[in-house]
Amino acid sequence: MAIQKLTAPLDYVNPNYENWGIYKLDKNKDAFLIEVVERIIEKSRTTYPTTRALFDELASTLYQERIRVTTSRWKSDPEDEKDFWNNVKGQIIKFQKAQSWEDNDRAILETLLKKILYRYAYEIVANFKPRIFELAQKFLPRILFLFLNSKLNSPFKFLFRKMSSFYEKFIITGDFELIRNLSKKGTIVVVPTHFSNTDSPLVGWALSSIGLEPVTYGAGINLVGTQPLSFMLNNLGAYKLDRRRKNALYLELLKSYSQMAIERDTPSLFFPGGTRSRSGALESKLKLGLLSTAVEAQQENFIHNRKKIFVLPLVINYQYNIECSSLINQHLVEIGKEKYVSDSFEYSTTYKIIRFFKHLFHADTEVVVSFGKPLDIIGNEVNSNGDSIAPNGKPFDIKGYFEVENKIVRDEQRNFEYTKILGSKIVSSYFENNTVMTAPLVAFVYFIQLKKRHKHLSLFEIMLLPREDRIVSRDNMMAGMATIIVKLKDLEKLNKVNLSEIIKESTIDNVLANGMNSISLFNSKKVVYADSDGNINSQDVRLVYFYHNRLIGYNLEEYL
Amino acid sequence: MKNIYNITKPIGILGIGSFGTVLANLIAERHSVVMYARKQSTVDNINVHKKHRDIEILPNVTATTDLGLVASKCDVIFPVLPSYAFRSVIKDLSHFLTSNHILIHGAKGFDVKLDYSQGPVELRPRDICTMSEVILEETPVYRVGCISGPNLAKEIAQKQPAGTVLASKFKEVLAIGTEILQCDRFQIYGSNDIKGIELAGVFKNYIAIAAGASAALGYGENVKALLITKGISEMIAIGKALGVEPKSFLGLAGIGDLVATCSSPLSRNYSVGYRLAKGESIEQIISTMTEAAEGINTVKVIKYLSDTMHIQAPLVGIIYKVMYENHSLESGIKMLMRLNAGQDVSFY
Repeated sequence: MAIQKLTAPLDYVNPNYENWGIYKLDKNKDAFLIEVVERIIEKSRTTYPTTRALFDELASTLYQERIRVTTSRWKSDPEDEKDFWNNVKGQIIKFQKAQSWEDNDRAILETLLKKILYRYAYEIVANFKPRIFELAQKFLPRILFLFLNSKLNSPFKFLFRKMSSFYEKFIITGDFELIRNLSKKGTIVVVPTHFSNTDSPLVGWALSSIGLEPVTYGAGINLVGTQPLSFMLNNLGAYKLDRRRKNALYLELLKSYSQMAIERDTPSLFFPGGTRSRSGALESKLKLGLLSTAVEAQQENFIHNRKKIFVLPLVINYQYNIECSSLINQHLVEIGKEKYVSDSFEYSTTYKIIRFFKHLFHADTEVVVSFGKPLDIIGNEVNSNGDSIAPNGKPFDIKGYFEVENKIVRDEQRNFEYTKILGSKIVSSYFENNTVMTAPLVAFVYFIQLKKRHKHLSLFEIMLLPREDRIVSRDNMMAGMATIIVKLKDLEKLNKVNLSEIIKESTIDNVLANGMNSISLFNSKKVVYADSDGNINSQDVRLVYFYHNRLIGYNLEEYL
Repeated sequence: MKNIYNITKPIGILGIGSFGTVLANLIAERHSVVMYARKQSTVDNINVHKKHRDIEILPNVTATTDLGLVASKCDVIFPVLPSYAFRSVIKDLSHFLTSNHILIHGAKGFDVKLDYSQGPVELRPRDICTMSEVILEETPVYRVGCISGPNLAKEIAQKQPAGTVLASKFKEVLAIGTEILQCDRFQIYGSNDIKGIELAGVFKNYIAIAAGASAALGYGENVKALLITKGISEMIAIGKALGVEPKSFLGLAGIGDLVATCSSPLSRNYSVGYRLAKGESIEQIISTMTEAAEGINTVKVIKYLSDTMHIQAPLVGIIYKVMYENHSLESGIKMLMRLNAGQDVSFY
């Protein structure tokens, strides 16, 4: 089947929510958590084979938690936290005083380990309430669209409009039949790009639009702690991650939780980039920790003759990004260190605030959510039977990757190498399914020309150029746009990238005008604009750099 | 490391060169071995006469012309092929390979995607594949390894002790490969830097040509030592441009192999240099060799690569001039001595 564009929402593949993985997980929460904790206890006997090693790990956990409790408290933290860790401290001291390192004393430590793990587990665990899901499904997209969407003269009418017309502006593409088919045969793990806080609800909406059941995913515990988002996330299947905690036991629990949810056929979602892409570039280095849980789950599923796991890359493209200022600022602070002095990007004057809202309701733009080809756990493409396709085009069985002489051998290091392979395939899929829109295109051509003219200057010096040195002549801009559009069209023919309709069909003049208009929409400054002579300039090169990054990785620079 | 793997299926060997043959015998001391050969006459020699390349073949080595049979009988296969034939044989084999297979190669050359036979071309890292990369491109196999080190086939055939480096990103492959290869006279060292180990094995070949030539001219140990140490520096510089760290060049597959091949008339690349210095042309030498000397092509590839990438690689430049641009060896040595030597150790 070919790639399609969604025109109206599809029925649920699995209409009865009682059969949804996430619902079943919520129903059997306690039994599930017992299983998770028991598996970690079992594993700890190999990871910490001696009583001493286990003691050291517990002591290290206590040490890190006590620092967190005293130095970094959040509103969302439970009130009894201090008491809990004081109690753990008491037990650790008692054990240490007894100085009993005999193996038969391990049971005491395992009880303590269990206590800590259960506390973590109940903090993390996802809830799912079908009624709240229904409600969210009805209104969340509308609120989201209101936030992101097009020429709205009356936001209130919009809230009650028919959903199908939204698919004109909020484009969803992919091989839906294949994806729906695979969701019946296996467990889906969705791996989207991540640029904005609006990504999670957008992905949730896109999944339900093509009839997939809701997914479980990790949300920062700080997000969950803020009203009113907390109530929604808390009841829509998000499990809660605490980014302050880096201790081995917590991370192990998180991974086991995620892995066993997948093993229990709960569709899941990870943002493999980790957090939002600060630079604005497509993720090319992925965080493999959580992704590896999908590979481990596949190994266990093979051992127990359970389902195959399918990985579904997803690229989200916005014309503009409301959070771009703060994202690029964080990126530049990180890479620039002493070379970059951040200044405030906030809308400080009344004029700017008015300008912002004026644009919010007059913007003409679109959002594209592209589902890539579904992959198996090693990154091979799969056909509609769920069979993996080898490089030579033949269907084959991937179970052998986990076997030695036809017996499955558990091997974390091997599986991590497979995760790296999967990661690189996901990155390729991102680039192939990325839809180039006018704003990043204009930013790219403008920025590269500026950079090439000032070759001797560093990125940070370019950003501080005076206005007259930031001019790119209209002729150069048009010629550059023409060259890059030709190259992009060549890449599109090879299925290496997608282009938005306007780039494919309109004149270069229109593309430039549309790009300049879109890129400045939510910004108080004109990010790229034509001056009175028609030449191209920018009031904020930092944001130009942010949008230009989206086209990095296609080797287009060399043509300018 | 405690080895938990007990390999019971036969081990496959692709390639009937001298190293492939001694490797088959070495493995056959504890496992049965299936060798693949293209010619029926070779297969008959091995199966019936139990002799190949003047080497006695152990009883539990069998040969076949059927690649499919090798793939179906063996989960672990060692392709020990010359680099020019590597891709085509692997392509043929790929039809029979599944996710169960593990491939550990013993080839020491490059696969170049551009045609460089007609003269200098612009070569970039993306135009060059190591053998493990060829396997990854052509087959569904991910569990790939390589062996490389000072392993002169004749000495192993004489049952002299030796060591080699087994490299793979997968600890599983290292453990399985060690289980298959290790014995009282063959020591296996592990590495997870497969590309570094492969490059070390490839690069040392052109240094060996220079060492052979220097010996033929009657130069002694001083020149050899100069060639080995400066050769290592140059190998590291080129390796860095191809994205590998220096450490693999400093071990058994780098310095170790270089010391062996730069000292031994048993090395094919060494003998190429030796004969070159004695006045034979490169065409004459190639026409009389029974097995490929990988260094002959490696010199060209590295010369074109270092020119394109602006890598300082004076040794390969001089060897190239002597081999392909009719410079005399004496002038080559003069060039070497007139180089702006600079710092001794500069690769860290």
